[in-house]
Amino acid sequence: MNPVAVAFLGSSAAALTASAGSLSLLFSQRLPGVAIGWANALASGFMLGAAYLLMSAGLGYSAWAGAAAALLAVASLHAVDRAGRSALVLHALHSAPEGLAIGGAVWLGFPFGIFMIAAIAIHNVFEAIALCGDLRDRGASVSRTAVLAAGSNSGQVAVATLSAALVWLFPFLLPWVLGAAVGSLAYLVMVDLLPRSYQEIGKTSISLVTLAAMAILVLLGIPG
Amino acid sequence: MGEVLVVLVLASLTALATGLGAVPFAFVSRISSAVEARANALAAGLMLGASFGLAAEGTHRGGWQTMAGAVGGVLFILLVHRLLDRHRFSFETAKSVPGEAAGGSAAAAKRALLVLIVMTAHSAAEGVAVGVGFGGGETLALAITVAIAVHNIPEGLAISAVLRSQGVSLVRCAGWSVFSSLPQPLLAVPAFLFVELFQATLPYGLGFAAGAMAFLVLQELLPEAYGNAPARAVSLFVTVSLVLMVLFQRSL
Repeated sequence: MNPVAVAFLGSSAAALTASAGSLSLLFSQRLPGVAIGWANALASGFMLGAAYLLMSAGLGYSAWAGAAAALLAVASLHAVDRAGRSALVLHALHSAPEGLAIGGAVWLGFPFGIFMIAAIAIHNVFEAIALCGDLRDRGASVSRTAVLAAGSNSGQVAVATLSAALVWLFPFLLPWVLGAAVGSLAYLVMVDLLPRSYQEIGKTSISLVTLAAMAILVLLGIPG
Repeated sequence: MGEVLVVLVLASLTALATGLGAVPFAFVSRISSAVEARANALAAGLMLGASFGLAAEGTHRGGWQTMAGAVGGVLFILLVHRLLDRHRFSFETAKSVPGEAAGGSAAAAKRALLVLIVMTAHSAAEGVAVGVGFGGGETLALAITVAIAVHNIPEGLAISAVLRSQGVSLVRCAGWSVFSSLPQPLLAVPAFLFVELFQATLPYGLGFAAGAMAFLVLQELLPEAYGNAPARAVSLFVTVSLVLMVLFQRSL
C-alpha cells in the first residue's frame, strides 16, 4: 500500500481511537486528578519514546537537516504558543507533532509506520482521558466528549497525510519531516503534558510512569 | 593503564567544569531564580540528550539488558533519595530551608550544606555515566563527557548562588562546586574498569547511566525549572539543548 494512504488511513484510525478516552467517564463521572496526571504522564512517555525512535531512525539520513528541521519546528511552535493559549493554538500544538510523526514514520518501512500509528493511537487515548475529564467538568455529555475527543485529532490526519505526501513528491524532505516530528514532539511534552502532570500528582510517580511508558515503546520499537 | 588515566583526567575535567558556575558571581552579586530555572532547563536537555546517546548504544548491544540496567539506575536514584529523605535532605529543602527568610545564619548554613550534599549525591550517577561511556567507545565517551561537563556548570551556578549569598568568597564557591562533583572521577574509573573487564555488563551499565540521568531530569531538574519559569521558556531551553546535544554526538 502507498505510504500516503497508510498515513491517511492510519492517522484517521488513531484519531478515532481518541474517543475511547471517554469510556473512562462510564466508570467515574468526575476523573480524579491522579488519573488525569497519570494519563498525561503516559502520553508524555509515549511521545518521548516516539521521538527517540524517530530520531534513531532518522539520524541515518541527514543529521544536520534533521536538527535544522527540529529547531525550526521548536521555534515555530514556540512562536504559536506565545501568540496565546486559545483552543485553536492548543489544537495546532497537539496536531502537528503527532501528524508529522506518522507522516515520517510511514516512509521508514510498513512495520515501523504501523507501529508508530499504534503508538500515537494509544497516546491519543491517554491524552483524551485528560481532555474528556475537562469537558465533563464543563457539562458535556459522555457521547459529546467522545465526538470532541476524536474531532480534536482531525488536524493530526491532515498533517500526517500532507507530510507523507510531501515526502512522496520530494523524497529529500524525509529527514526534515522526521526532524520536525522529533523537535515538536519533545516541545509538546515539555510545554504542555509534563507541566500539567506535575500539577496533578507527585513528581516521583510522574517520573516513573513517564519513563516506564517511554521504555516500553522504545523496547518494542527497536528493530530485531 | 593509559586508558584509565584518560578516563580519570576527562572525568576530573567534568568535575572542574562545575567550578565555572562560580564565574558569573565575579560580575553580579546574585542570580535570579528565573535564570537558574533556565540553567536547569538547559542542563535537563543536555542530560536527556546524553541519556538518548547512552540508551542508543545500549539497545544496539542488547535491548532487554539496557532496560534492566535502566531500571537499576532509577532504583539507585530512588534509594539515594530515600536515604537523603531520611535525613531530611531533598532538592526542595535544599532550595528553601524554613527560617531562612528570617535571616537565621544557622538556617542559611544548613541550606548551603544541603545543596552541597544533594549535588554530590547526584554526581555519583554522572560518574558512572562517564565511565561506562568510555566502555562504549571513544565517540560516545567524548559526547557524554562534554554533556556532563556542560551540564555541571548550571549545577555549580546553583551551589555558588547559595554559598555566595552567605558571603563565601568566589574561590571557595568554585572549590565547593568542584568538590560536589568529585564522585564523578572517583566513580568513573571503577565503572570503566568494570565494563572493560566484564564486557557482557556494558549494556546494563549504559542502561543504568541512561535511566539514572533521565530520572534525575524528570524528578528534579524539570520540576525545579517549571517552578521558577514559564513552561514555554523551559520547553524552549530543554528542546533546543536536547537537539544540539544529539547533533553534537552525531557529528563526532
